[in-house]
Amino acid sequence: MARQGRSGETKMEGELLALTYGAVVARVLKDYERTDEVNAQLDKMGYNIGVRIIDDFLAKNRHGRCKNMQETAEAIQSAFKQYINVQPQVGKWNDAQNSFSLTLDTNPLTSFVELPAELSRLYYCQLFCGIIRGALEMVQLETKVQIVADNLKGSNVTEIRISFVKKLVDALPVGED
Amino acid sequence: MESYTLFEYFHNELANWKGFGADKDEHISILEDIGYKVGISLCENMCKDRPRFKEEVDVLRFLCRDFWELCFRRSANSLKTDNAGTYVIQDSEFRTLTALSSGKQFLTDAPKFLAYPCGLLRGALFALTLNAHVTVEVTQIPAAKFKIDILRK
Repeated sequence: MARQGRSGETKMEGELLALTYGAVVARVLKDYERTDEVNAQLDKMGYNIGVRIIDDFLAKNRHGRCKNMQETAEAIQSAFKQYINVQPQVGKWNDAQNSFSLTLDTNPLTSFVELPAELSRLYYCQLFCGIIRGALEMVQLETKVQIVADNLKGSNVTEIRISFVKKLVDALPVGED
Repeated sequence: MESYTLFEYFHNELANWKGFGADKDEHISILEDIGYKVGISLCENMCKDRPRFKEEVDVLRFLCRDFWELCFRRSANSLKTDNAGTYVIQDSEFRTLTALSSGKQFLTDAPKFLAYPCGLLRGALFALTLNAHVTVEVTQIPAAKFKIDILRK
């Protein structure tokens, strides 16, 4: 049986992730009628992954502490490259330089997916938002992360908006300024 | 490129996810069903341009080498059969069990890390026209012994 070359395997690895995620989304859709509840579940799953995968990322990337949101954006960009082999663009900074967009031209999670009209309020890739939010929280950055353009809904890109909320200082319990 | 790493974090999250089913057994059967659906599509994509398997045992060899390597990052250690439709595949370091510390302490946690893989194997076999019953036995983490019973049509 012929061994698949490295690129063949990488493609298949991407399919393993994409197919598994698709089956999970289908399952969650069965369990929850309201799509915004499904979005919340996917976000929670992502958050739980984000708070763990950050250690893997920091261990493999001699990243010093990100001094500003620009460096944070670049770190997220390299994480996307590392984990799903896609290089998102960083851009659309606001004036305060604390909110930006990650734009993905291709989205490996959606390669087998078509979204029926009645699921227009589903954010299929909400998992990404949760992962980013969870990972950033572990490096003391509270953020709001949401999908603002979705390649499953007519846009030819997927755009994820990341906005800084506040710095989490370890000394204070979360929520107290 | 490490989409397998992200897949592993995702699978561990599924294994620990509280939102699937009301109790442990339902959680296990949901994970198995998810694995089953993925196994069918994944194996179909893998075998699209492969020659058809001549013998049933060739299918099982493919399962415990190529399919095992894609899904569990190593080939299984051994494949045995009683030549009456039952196969036993042993893996001394089963990938999804490496999430648990080895030995006997976490044996009760093992099933939720094995449900999705069992479904994957059942789905892959179905994609290759074999209806099978897949069960797994763990006496010492991370070793796992999969028993595959091919159901005669």
